[in-house]
Amino acid sequence: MSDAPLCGIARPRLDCDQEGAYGRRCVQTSLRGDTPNITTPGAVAIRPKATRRSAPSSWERLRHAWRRYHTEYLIFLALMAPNLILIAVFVYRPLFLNIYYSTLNWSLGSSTAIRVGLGNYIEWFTDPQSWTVLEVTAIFTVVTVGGSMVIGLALALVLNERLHFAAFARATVFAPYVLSGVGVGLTWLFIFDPAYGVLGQILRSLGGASPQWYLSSPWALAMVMIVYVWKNLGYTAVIYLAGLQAISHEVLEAADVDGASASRKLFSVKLPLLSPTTMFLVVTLMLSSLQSFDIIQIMTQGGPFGGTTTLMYEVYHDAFVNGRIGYSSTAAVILFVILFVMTFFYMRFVERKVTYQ
Amino acid sequence: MLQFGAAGLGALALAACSGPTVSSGATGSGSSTPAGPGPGATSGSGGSSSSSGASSTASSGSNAYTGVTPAKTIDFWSDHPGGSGPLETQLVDAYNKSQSETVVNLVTAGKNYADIAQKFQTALASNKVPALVMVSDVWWFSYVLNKNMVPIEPLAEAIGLDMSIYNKTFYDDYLYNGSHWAVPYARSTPLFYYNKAHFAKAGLPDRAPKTWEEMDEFGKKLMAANLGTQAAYNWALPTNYVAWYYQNKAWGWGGEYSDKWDLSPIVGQGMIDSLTWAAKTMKTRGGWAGMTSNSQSNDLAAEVVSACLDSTGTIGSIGKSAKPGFQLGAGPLPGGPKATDHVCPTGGAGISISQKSGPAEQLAAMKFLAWLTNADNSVKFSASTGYLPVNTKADAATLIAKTPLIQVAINQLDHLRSQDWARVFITGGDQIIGNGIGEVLLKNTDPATAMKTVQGQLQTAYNQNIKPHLS
Repeated sequence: MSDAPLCGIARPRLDCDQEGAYGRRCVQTSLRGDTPNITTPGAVAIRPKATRRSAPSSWERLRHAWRRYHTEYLIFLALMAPNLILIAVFVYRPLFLNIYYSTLNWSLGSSTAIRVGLGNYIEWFTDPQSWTVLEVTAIFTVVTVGGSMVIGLALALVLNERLHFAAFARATVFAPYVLSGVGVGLTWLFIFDPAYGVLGQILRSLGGASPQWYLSSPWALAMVMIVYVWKNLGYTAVIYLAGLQAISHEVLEAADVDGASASRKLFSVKLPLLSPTTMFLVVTLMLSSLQSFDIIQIMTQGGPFGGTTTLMYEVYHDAFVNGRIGYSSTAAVILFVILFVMTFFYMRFVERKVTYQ
Repeated sequence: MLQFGAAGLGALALAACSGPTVSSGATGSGSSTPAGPGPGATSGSGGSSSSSGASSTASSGSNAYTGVTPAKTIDFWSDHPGGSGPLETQLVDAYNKSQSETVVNLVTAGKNYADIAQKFQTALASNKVPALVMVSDVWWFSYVLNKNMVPIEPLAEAIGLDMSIYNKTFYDDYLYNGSHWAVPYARSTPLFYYNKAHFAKAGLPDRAPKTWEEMDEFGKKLMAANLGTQAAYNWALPTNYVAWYYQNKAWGWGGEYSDKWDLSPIVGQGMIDSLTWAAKTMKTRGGWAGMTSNSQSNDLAAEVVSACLDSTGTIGSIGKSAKPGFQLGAGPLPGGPKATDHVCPTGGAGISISQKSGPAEQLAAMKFLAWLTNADNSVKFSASTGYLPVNTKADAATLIAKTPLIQVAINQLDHLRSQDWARVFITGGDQIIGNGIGEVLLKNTDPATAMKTVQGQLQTAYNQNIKPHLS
């Protein structure tokens, strides 16, 4: 393939056509830089001819390579092709189609659309609501990731001790994670209901009053974050528990011998050794927080007044409530860019500082 | 990294199945006075310009369904409104046993109208769409605009069904461009529900207030009666149809959301006056009303409020969820200072026949639809759910004997008004308006400011989703 354009460029030299079969030699000549008249008009016109003539040479090279590598190459293809095809079809195709759709004004269900260029992006960045969405997304992500990690670590430290019914305790902590988000949302919907929910009754019996969880923005956001952390805590605890159990006893015993206190052991030995686990959790939790949808959809539908509308929820809301696929794709692309930058930052800077044992 | 990419874009992966045909440049609407939907809209060409021959026959003499054999199986997508799941299953089974031509598959396509809408719109990207789809008041028009449905007239003619048996107000709700695009099915109106015991204890008459000014008095008395409630009345949530119920106040105060596509009435005096009144009803400002956190009729059944507005379709479910001995009262919607009649909006769902399913399925679908909404089945469905009988031949006496409260809704039938286009025809309009009303009620935002924002959002939605498709 590389021969073709070069031969095309080198055509004036090759005009002594009788040597066409040795196209390869001509390439080498031209590569030496002594090709005159490269820009002769008409060079392109006879390019196919030159290509055809150079074919035997590339075929020979291919055969050579084939002979040398064919076994490895076949294995490589067999192993890689299914993955590459799947990734291309299910990741990159939707990705590029979405970028394309973000340049359209396309109503949901319509078979026609109007091209608007960057119009959707201009609208998104000039809409004050977009900044509220980013703020909600940031608060939701930071609090749910941070909350799950701190509480999850605390639980893991407890579960790592020699307890009675340890297996039962671990299963109990992990159980909410395997529940369906919709079921969890529906159950908590009734727990939080200020009129007849359990929480409201407890608060009233203590002489307080239930906050308006569904009607005021900060409370609604707090509510979905509480439910989200509750549901995902088990995952963090189990991963941290696995990390704790992988810490070598010798290291801990050495710390004991040196007379380290429990808190010193935690902060100077366990936590540094857990840092790969921590980084893994930061990434996976961030992913799932930014994707979270079910609990918000069931409990608040993004309300009140957009108070629980995260970027992910906005993608859904624009597409399926407001029927604006193009604008929704714009929000999806912006979410993608944010995630991309964060991942890049993580890979470039953070991963290097992780302590491995 | 790939996972990250998939995360942000997964929601739209389905939409990526097939793309639209793109036209560039300015918006498509060339017409300065676009034809509108609803009663009174007159426009030349009937029907859609779809590729299926069957659907372009609304105004032509011959019927494209002549000689078509009905399909052997069809799908019917429902959300079983009003808890009608068991009854719908029973009805579909009965139909399948009653004839051997077509088997109908009842598919639960979601838990509410919005779920069905999402599922159907996603299915449109593929070629596998159901023949029959439940369409709510806020969704059918967008389907028609996008040419997803077929007109009813040629199908009714093909099977010899006289459409005048249907309640005219309900059927004409689906009129656009000279054709009807759905058959009424689970049709409702809001009702004023109240707790009879609470009203008696507060010394109030056993009826709904006639006007909202009267409700001001009722509310004060209910609050003073120490009933253990949190408020006398609960407004609906902005995300749960407050804009449907609120049309009642808008009209009562002489306002409206829109006059056809003209959005200026939403910032008009009637709207502002009604909202000024509404803001004062809130308990937080010394009034008698609160806002529900989930469902106002659940709150009524749980006796945390004494009254609310909700759909006729909840008659059945309030009774089921309330404590034994709970006495439910219902009355027509109160009027306002400017109007007391025709202040109740129509609502609920009909069933449309999809364009993509093809003539054989469409014909089979229409036959089933005619049977599903016949006089007997209409009574069964209404008695079980509280939705209004859509078939005028339905035996009201049997129905009232089974569900006495439905009498109130039936009496209200002659006093209905079709909804404002801004809510039902602009995609997302219901929530845009609902949020504006919510701003006034919960945050005490100045009504004029709140409605100005709403008007801007509605205009954007109209320009984006409606205007390019109007012909």
